Amino acid sequence: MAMGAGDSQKRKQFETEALPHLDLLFTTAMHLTRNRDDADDLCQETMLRAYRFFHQYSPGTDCRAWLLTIMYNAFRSSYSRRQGREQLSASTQEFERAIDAESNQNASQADPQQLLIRSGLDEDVEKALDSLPEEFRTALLLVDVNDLSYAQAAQTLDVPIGTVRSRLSRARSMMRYALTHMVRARRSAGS
Amino acid sequence: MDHRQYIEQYLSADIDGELSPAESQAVSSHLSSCADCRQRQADERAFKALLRQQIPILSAPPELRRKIVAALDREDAARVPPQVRRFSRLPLWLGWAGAAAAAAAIFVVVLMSSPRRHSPPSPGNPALEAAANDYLKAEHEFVPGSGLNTQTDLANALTMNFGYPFIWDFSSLGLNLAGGQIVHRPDGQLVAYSLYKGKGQSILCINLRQMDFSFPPGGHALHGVRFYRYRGLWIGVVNYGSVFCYFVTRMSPQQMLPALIHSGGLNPGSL
Ligand SMILES: [Zn+2]
Repeated sequence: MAMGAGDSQKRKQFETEALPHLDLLFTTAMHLTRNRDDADDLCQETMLRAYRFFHQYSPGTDCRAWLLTIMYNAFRSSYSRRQGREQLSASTQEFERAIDAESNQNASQADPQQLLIRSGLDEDVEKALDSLPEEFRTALLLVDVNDLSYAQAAQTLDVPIGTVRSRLSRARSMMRYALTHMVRARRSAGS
Repeated sequence: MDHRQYIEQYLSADIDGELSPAESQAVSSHLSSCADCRQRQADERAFKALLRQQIPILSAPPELRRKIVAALDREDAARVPPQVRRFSRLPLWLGWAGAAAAAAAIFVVVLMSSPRRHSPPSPGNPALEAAANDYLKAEHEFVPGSGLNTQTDLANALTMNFGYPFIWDFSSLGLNLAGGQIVHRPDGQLVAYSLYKGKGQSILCINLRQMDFSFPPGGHALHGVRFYRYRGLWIGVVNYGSVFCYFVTRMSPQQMLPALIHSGGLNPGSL
């Protein structure tokens, strides 16, 4: 079916402003869903919703943040519920208890960066990320992977800025903890 | 500020450059006299850099790209029902009188041929009740939230809070945006209101997110909108993922629908 002039212009604009963010969306979707098929579906749904509502996107504003908001809403409304939210990741309380126990010992022993450099187990970082409970994983994805400001992340997640700030701080502690333990586990298995 | 406070409450935001000026100052004064915390700050910076480096940006697979392009093609072909597509190419100010009349006729036919011409009221439904009360209040008095009285500002605020701008073009009905409000209800629920007014008529659009929503019983669906006759008002409910829009008005669905579809916000077959 032939498109009107307005439609083809919209299509072109979408292809220059929205589609270039597909790699970033795909990366985010992979860590949100932790599953290739679901990540594909989530990206398709996000792009299609964005296209349907593209006439309402204001050019010049941050298209990436807009797309991530759509993606997160789509994720929250279907995938997270379908998967049974915390099936794969450790529970938040479990992490907190472990981190508290750890910090009562000598904290300087656990420097994941040093451990990683020495052991060369870089792929553990992604595994550690995927083990985080959803709200902490998401905060880290938006700020450290997608480079959103706290304010943008707060708007994407529909939570106050203070919540982003505390989730991020805890997410980083959880990452340190998870990495340290993965590296130690590998080492003791190897020695 | 002591070590523990710095590490637990400020460190992470510090390395992101997200401290307030007052916090920044307090942090500087602690760090200037504390070598341990300076070391922690350097470690945390290095850790953030490590995360960025070790979580690579993946390339979207080519077949995903192809699937998306194909979906956009299908959308271009089928986005708007043919009878509306014809009108939507006309400039608003030229095409509307005729378009509205023709579209209204189409919907009258749809209503007449539907087995239930009038949807039964759903007395006491909490969602409809809240929407009706909001409308009756807004009809009497509506004060836009600060920074929410232009279409652009409201569109930005709605996008940030609900994922889409949810701005409608009701100018064909003689209605223009009077302003918006984004508020938390007492239960913490975030709700956005946008009021369109003119010619003694008004439409209040209410956006909210409801994860486990089911449509109120009764009503009937037309072009993706479920309409309810409620306390003398018409309430149209549309679902966009987890976000729901309620359109509350004294106008009939036949009057309102062509403008809604013309606005481009309705996805035919979404019900
Ligand atoms: Zn200190």
